[in-house]
Amino acid sequence: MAQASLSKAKLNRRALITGRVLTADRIVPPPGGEIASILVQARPDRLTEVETDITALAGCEIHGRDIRGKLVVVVETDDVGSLGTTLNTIQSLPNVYSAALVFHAIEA
Amino acid sequence: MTTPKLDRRQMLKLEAAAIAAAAAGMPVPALAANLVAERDASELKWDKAACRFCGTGCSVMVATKDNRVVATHGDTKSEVNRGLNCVKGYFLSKIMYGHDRLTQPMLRKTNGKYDKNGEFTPVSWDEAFDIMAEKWKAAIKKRGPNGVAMFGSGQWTIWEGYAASKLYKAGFRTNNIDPNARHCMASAVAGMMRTFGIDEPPGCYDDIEAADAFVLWGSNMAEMHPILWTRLTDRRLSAPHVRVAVLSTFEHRSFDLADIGMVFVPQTDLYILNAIANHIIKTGRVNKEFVAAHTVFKRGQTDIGYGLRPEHPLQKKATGAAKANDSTDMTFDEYAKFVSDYTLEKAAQMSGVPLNRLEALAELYADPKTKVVSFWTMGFNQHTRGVWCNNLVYNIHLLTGKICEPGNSPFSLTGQPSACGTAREVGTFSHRLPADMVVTNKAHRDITEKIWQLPEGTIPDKNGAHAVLQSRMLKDGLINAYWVQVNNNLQAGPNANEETYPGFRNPDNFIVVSDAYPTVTALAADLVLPTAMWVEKEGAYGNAERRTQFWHQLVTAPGEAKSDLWQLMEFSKRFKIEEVWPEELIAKKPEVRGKTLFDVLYKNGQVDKFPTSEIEAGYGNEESKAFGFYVHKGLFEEYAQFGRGHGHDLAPFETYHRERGLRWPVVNGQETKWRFREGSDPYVKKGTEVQFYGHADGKARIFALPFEPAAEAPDTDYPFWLSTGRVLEHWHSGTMTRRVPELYKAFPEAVCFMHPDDAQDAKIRRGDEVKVISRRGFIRARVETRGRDRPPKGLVFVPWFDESKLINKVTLDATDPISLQTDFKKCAVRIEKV
Repeated sequence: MAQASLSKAKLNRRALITGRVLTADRIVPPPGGEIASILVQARPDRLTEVETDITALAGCEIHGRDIRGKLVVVVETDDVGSLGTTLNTIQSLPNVYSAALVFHAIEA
Repeated sequence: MTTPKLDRRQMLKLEAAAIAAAAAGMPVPALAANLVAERDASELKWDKAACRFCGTGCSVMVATKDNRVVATHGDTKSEVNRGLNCVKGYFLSKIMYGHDRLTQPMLRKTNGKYDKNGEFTPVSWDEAFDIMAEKWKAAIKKRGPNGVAMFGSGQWTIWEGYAASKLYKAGFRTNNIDPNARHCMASAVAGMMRTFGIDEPPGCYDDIEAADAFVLWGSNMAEMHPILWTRLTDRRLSAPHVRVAVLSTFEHRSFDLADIGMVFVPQTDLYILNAIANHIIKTGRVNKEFVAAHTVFKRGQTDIGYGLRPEHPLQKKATGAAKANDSTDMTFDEYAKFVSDYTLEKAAQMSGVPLNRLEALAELYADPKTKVVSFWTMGFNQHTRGVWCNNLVYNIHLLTGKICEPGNSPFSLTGQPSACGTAREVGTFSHRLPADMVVTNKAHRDITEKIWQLPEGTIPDKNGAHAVLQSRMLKDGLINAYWVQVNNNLQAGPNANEETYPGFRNPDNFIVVSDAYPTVTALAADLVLPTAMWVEKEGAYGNAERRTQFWHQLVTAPGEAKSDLWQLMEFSKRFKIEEVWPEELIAKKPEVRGKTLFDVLYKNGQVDKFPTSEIEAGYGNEESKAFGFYVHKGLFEEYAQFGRGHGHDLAPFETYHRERGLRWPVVNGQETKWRFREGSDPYVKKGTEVQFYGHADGKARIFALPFEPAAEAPDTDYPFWLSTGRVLEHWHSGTMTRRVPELYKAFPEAVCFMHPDDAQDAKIRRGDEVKVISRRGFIRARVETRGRDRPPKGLVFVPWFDESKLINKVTLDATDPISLQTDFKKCAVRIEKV
């Protein structure tokens, strides 16, 4: 399979200029769902709002809270696509300084 | 077991929560704590490994089942990441399983024969090495040893870089080997060597918890070094007096936490750095005792050019280009007079940063009671005056004596997992040998040849071709056989249209690329070799704080994929010493006659000293199985001879399989957190308090270096600055991260970040497709005016991770003349609506 996709790929000057060198479906999805825990650091005086924003996201639960600005978030998904997106969404929420992944398992 | 009713998923969730709570220092629910204690009884096998991504060097616990990685969590025993991992850690269990993983060597062929314009066709390793050896021998015959070259990586494991360096510098007798770390941190190396005479940071990550202020010079730690950013954020939130200053040429995520945010005009960092030094002197806050005892002053060579081709008008005009690294002695008074022209007022005028913010920044450094950590990465290093920037920030820390003690630390962050451990320490640069030694120094070559058991004169005495020069020489047909390992230089190297790509397709050249995936670079090659990655092999990386970390092979690589180490060593068997060494050299050591490079370099009685029975039970080791001895241990122990007793001491091999890494020098089993400081660094002479022993006089250098303009600045035809860089979701050229579906979706393609007013002036709307055009080439991308990166007017930012938007077709191959590192942050472009 890998060889087929590679031998079809032709890199000529035109391909380099237009950037059409790789195919779009390039990933083997892992079987089953996924579980992850994330440690979030947020502005302490906005912790409640951040908490609300996170629990509104699909599959997210708050499992721990520290008023100095920390939240333990557990995310579970049945499909492949959404967990990474959720991680990035949390990281980009207003008043969130950082979101660090702690635990991640597939085939859950 | 107290929880028989819980299903597997609930157990995993509790376990996930418990590990996160523990990492955060928060109370762990009892039920979950029990679960974690039962970890050993679960069906998964857990082992430690260093993260595959950036230079932070996080340790991760990796669970394998049925020869596949199925779970990861941050290693709670790691002092670096303390149980945490960044979002990229989430990719770790997936990066090896992209569907287009390369599993067989592929050679371009037509009608069953090699043809540069043919189609990729699967071949055996034997056939692959046959044609490779033929091309290498032909190139050496035609052009001498310098007709062959290699471009390696800061992602090589320590032993891979070491084996490659030996193969080229001693085997093929050419110094034409350079790592992609040249694009990444060569300026940091040259900066350290000039100021301190020895490479790598004086401090360590422990500085974060001891600092009162942080200054980020260009670095966007929030996205690029998230774990260190988490530690910095923790410090800022738990100690309210702590201040964070962030400087950049555009606003980014790290500004969210900044107390002092500063967007400056590109290149004016040189001005700001000198103005801070001047402020310290003018306000009488020089630490006179420290300066007198531990520093000397140097006037650096000026007008040093831009590392362009010699016929370029800018190069012809530069009067100091030939002696760029020179300097002359000067006094403190002369230095004070030199910087007196650099006032904060003028710095504000030139940089566009409000004066009160520059004053607040300067005061962080000047105030003797404030402990300051300075962080920088590519903003300083990818700069035609990058070495100067490194020197100038050290100046500030040296003038105030704020260095080599907890919380006072100038610290260069690194982008690749072993840029320090492999590129710098092993010395895979075209001018280097292990332990900071250089090829141009006879004594250094002698030491190296002695350890390698080779005759005097084996290692050539001239610097080899560095990254950008390799591309130019390929284009010019002067290098004809080229091997690329663990990097994607056609995407990463500058000026791809005019310099890199023509060299790949030059009919005189044979290009080999070893990679796990078909990158742009692999697809442009003539032969592609499938490579084992990360925990498919036993590995060792060295992180930014001098920490050396090991991991075991945990799974086997797919198909016929083999590690870079195996490839290098197996290939060396194809060369008889008579084919690569001249007769007069062989005559100095006649017993090598008739032997292969493999026998001379690797089966030399040293590297093959340790039997495979010493491999820890329960772990695979493909290379050792293939060669019949414990390859990794042999290479490591031979390599460690270079540093032991010379300030780069590494611990015994086995120690690293037990520890979560140790920071060198490791003397009598003790690691070193702060170098050059008595009591912490065993190499400092008693009674000196501080000793910069890299220089023979024990003193650091404070350099007088002026502002000089960028190689290319906006003008009427090309009115915008272009800066390139990275985004959180993708790591470097995206070879691994672009194969993780969620992340591909999260940031599918590179955009052109632009100020909304600039867009409006050009009648461009958010989401419109534009051409980003320079004098060298163009790409098409969509405009983003509201994203996480917010450029000021007159500057656009385009990330380089996207192989369908090769921004390096647009960039300029101007380098720092001392470090020879490219400036990817500054060139001139115009934006046209498509």
